[in-house]
Amino acid sequence: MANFDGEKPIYIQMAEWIEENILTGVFPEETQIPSTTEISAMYRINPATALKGVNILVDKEIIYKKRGLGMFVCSGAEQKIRSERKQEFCDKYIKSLISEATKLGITKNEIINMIEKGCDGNEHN
Amino acid sequence: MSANSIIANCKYQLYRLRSVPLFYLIWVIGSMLISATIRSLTEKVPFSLRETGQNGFDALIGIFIFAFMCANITDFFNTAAANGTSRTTACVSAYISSVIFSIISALEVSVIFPIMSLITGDDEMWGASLYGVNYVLYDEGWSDFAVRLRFLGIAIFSYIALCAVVILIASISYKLSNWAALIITLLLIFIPTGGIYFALGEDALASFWCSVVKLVGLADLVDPSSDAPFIGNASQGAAVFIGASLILLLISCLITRRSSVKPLAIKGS
Amino acid sequence: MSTIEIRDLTKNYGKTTALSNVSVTFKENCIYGLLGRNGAGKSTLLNIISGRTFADSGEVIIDGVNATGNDSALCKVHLMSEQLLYNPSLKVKDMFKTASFYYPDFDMEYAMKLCSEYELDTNRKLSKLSTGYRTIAKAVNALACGAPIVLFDEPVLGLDANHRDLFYKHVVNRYSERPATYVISTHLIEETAGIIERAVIIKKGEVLFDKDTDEIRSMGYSVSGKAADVDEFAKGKELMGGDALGGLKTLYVKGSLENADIPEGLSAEPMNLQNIFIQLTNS
Repeated sequence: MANFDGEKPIYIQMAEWIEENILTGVFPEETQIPSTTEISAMYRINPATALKGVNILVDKEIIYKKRGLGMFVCSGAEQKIRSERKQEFCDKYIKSLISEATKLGITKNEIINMIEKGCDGNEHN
Repeated sequence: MSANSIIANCKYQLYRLRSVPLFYLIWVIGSMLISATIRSLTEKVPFSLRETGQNGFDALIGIFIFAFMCANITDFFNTAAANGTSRTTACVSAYISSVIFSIISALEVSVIFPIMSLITGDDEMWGASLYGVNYVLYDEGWSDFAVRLRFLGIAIFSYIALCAVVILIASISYKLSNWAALIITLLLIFIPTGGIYFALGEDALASFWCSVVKLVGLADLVDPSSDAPFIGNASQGAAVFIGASLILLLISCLITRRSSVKPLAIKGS
Repeated sequence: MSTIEIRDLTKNYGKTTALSNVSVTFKENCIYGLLGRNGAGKSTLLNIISGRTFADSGEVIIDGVNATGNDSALCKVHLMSEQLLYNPSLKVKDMFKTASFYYPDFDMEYAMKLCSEYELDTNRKLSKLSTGYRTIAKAVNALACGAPIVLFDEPVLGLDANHRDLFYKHVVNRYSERPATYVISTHLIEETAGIIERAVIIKKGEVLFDKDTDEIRSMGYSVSGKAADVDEFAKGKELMGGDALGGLKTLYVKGSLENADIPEGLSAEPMNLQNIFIQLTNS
């Protein structure tokens, strides 16, 4: 169960949570996602906040609203999210990885070795 | 004040008083049975309901109404406040509820009396007979219906006046701290009795109370003008009771207009 | 759908000033959090709005009408507070029945449904309930009454975690079905942070501000690191407060984290609603 707790604006957390679920296939493309009322009741968040989060995704063309029926995942949403996240990957993960490594005195080559080991490990899984 | 608020308050208040008419009935039956039992035990006679009638039962009802209103009035004010109505509305609704309740009580008494009289063989002795006993009025040419109406009217208006007194006392205690309210209530009781006596003497006290009695239409009681049997001025009495009750209501409204709520302590918590 | 406009409200209790020139507007169809420390004046404000007590000066305007002693305005408001103003000898269901006399939109079916979710026996007298369950009864009464303005003064006092969670769920559900103006006064800021849309913060009888909760969250951030480095960073910036632990210093800086340029060696984090509240209301 998700926990929308206080630091990032909740509507952003909610949008990211929906995107995450689209990426992992919990909300497949062209299927319906829970309504803002259901989401806000389930996670105890203000319905207006839930709506704000949903509207971000509508603007990004990740989900669309079908009058009288509800909200659905757009075709191609998964791809959109993937490429957006790839772009953010550097900022989010690489920069902080390098900064942490610098703090610990880990060299570039050591980092590269660790990455190679990690990737190889994943391939066996 | 709005009509809806008044109606809502009255609904609640009458709902809270709903079992009192049953209480009257139980009291009457109980008293008759108990006095019959005591008499048969002490005087060693067979158990009988003859002559166990409740004289002045209408006056006793007045005391009951006073007591039940006292017991409930703070709750009436608090519940009004809990549900978005003003203190003034609470006072006015309590007054209206007491008018309705007084009418219902008096009507019940007017049904109980004849039945009681049938069972006990006693004459109906209303407290309201203070304004003229029924056989005196019959002699004057009054019909049975007119006599009953007279008794009913006196009963109703005096009950309303009593309820207005309760509303006033409650308003005072709502507005002031409990000690201040107690002191004021004691002063209200003391001044017209001991106060006048100690300040102005016995004669002044007597003449004060004579004036009060005259005011409510019972002038001949204290000042018999002839040897004819006594008949009080019921319409004067009724007018004074109603007038006084409205003045007391007005004072209560003014007192409570800006008073904060005083919740009851919860017993057993 | 109703608005409450508070203008220059002042209330003194003897020598203590409970509220001082408070002006704020609670707009329609919004869940407000009314936040403040103990004794800040939250309960006084709610009591005045609902007519339980009176201000010394100022006005409460509900839908354009002065609400003082005015039933047509007051009947739009219901306050749930620690005080029990209903007769304690009433059964829970009779309290609901009483409320339905006054609030024509009272939903009895909904009230009974909620009571079964809380496992509250509606045949019990109010005086015989535990404090927690009495609070629940009053909360259900407030949720079911259907008034366009519902005020909650510490609605979860004495409730266990499960019941508190249930309460928040009910508030959100009811609000979704039937939008109204909700004002929730509470000390449990982080718990309630999710459901409130706007927060009105009261400090020592004055309104600090009335803002969207996301806006409040972006009002400040924390910066930690070596004391000297942190102090260097904080030069020229407005601060909300700080802590020190040995050589480690944390300062709470006013401003948005997004616009801040955090140097290497310092770690910066956004602050949640409760943290910002604490820093702003520490004397």
